[in-house]
Amino acid sequence: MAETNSNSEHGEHVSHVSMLQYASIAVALAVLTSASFFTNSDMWPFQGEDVKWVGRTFMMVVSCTKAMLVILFFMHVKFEKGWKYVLTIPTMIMACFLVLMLVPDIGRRVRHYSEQRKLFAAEPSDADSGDADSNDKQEKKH
Amino acid sequence: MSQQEPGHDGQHIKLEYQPALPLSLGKTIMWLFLSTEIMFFAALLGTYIVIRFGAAAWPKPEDVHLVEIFGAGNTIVLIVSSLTIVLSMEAARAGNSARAKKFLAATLLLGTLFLGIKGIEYQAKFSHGIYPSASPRSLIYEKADFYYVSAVRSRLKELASELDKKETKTAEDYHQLAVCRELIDRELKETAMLAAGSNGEGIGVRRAAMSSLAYRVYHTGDPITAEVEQIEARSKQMTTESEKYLTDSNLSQPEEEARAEYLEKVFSLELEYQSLDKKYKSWDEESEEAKSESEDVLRTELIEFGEKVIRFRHELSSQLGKSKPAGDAESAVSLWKRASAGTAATDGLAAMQNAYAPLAEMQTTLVWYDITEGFADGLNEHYHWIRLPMVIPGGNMWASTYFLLTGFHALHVLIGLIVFALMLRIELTPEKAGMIENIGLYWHFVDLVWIFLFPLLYLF
Repeated sequence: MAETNSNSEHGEHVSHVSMLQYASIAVALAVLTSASFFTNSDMWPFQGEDVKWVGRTFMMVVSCTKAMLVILFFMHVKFEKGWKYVLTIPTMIMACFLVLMLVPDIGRRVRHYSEQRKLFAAEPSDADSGDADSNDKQEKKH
Repeated sequence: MSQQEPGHDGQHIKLEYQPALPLSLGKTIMWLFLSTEIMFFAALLGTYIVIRFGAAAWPKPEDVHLVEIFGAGNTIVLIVSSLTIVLSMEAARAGNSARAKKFLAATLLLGTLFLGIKGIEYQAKFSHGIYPSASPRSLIYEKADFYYVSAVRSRLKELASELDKKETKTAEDYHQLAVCRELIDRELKETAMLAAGSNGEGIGVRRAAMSSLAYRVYHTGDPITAEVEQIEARSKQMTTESEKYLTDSNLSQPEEEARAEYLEKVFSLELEYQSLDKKYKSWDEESEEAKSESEDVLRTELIEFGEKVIRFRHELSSQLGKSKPAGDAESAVSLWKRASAGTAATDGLAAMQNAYAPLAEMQTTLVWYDITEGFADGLNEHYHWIRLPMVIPGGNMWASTYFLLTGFHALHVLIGLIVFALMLRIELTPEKAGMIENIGLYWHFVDLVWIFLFPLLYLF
């Protein structure tokens, strides 16, 4: 059975994206990757533990942008019909729900450690190499 | 789509299936599969995010030999491979089969490069004792406590025991044995005493002693605290036989090279000493007649070795800054030769042993200097053979999540590569463009996962 593009009804394919556009998107992806990597360099202006969230937010925004470029153009989802929403939206909702569901039990488990458990638990260094809340750190210092 | 009315009057009913989606079957199934993959990786990534941000401690990339540039390189490799697979599909659709194959081959190569870089990264972890699960090969401990100190001691004793049992040792074996013994007799003993509070030390000093040991084995996180610095200072006081080679940062490059040469020479002399000792013992077991025949030769060898040792000892003494030996090396040698003249082989052995004993003491000092240099680098980095347990807070959880996420991703890459390799064997006509599109969708998904994995694992 001949495989045809979803938009074609007569078996001929018309490419929605030109070669130049593909190449431009690849370059854009590379530039975005460099931008993401830039947050790791000494020239990144938001250095320090209290502004680490800026770098992390920036990285996630860059990653989502890269993902959208790949999905829309390389995977041709931009040119697909309504079924794409049926496929992607429920899975996105489930993905977010999964993360949120794990936060109370797994994400906050350190807060519920017994004294016995704390004896063997790792401790962050003074410069906070972990991301435990400050309450937990103060409990541990004795 | 045309539809026929069901026939009557005994004619067979003709049914036509209407596609539920305006897609080919292959594409529909591929998208269904990808939606399950989305959930699979969402579960893994989501769990990683929750564990990572809920952890009490998490290692920095340099603590676990994670090199960000490799991750960035891999990202670029996968982006380019995504481009090449989509160009392959377009080429096939346009009827250019040869071009489509070239782009497909390029995608295969880039995917292989990705796995190669990943292999290098994994090897870097394994060679430093970082494994996916906590036992049996992982060297990671979460905390510098008494269990950790015991584990270090056990490992050193195990190493020393293995080296001791070797029938034929090399100079390097003697060196390693000397290092293990020095660490057990000095470093571990001091740490264990402090950790146990045998002189009434407070909890802060006891914990600092164990943290200091962990820091000396493997540097992680931030520099040592003030309490640990006190331990370092106390330990330095124990080793002030000579100031010249005590702190490696004071040495010039030629001095460092000279010290390394001396260390090497000391152990090649040790090797020679041990083999002469064995030779003497086997000579001693021969018959009286055989003994008298070879006695002179053996005695000469023993005395020549003694001379060599005395000259070297003399040179080493002045370099180590010990009290300058009286006279020069030549006078010491001729004095010793006169004393050894006319003696039997048994006396030759005693003379050699007497000449060697002070060198053995210097050897200990020289080894200790080498070890203090090791403390500056981290013992596991300075001595690649030592592989001592190391403290990386959060390290086991990090290793577990890192290897799981990247391992599953690499498995998906491998499957993609196998499919590309199979597809290279067929003619990529316009009819096959749909197949390329479908595998391309899979490959883009693999790229998408890496787009999120890279910042989460390497940069966060």
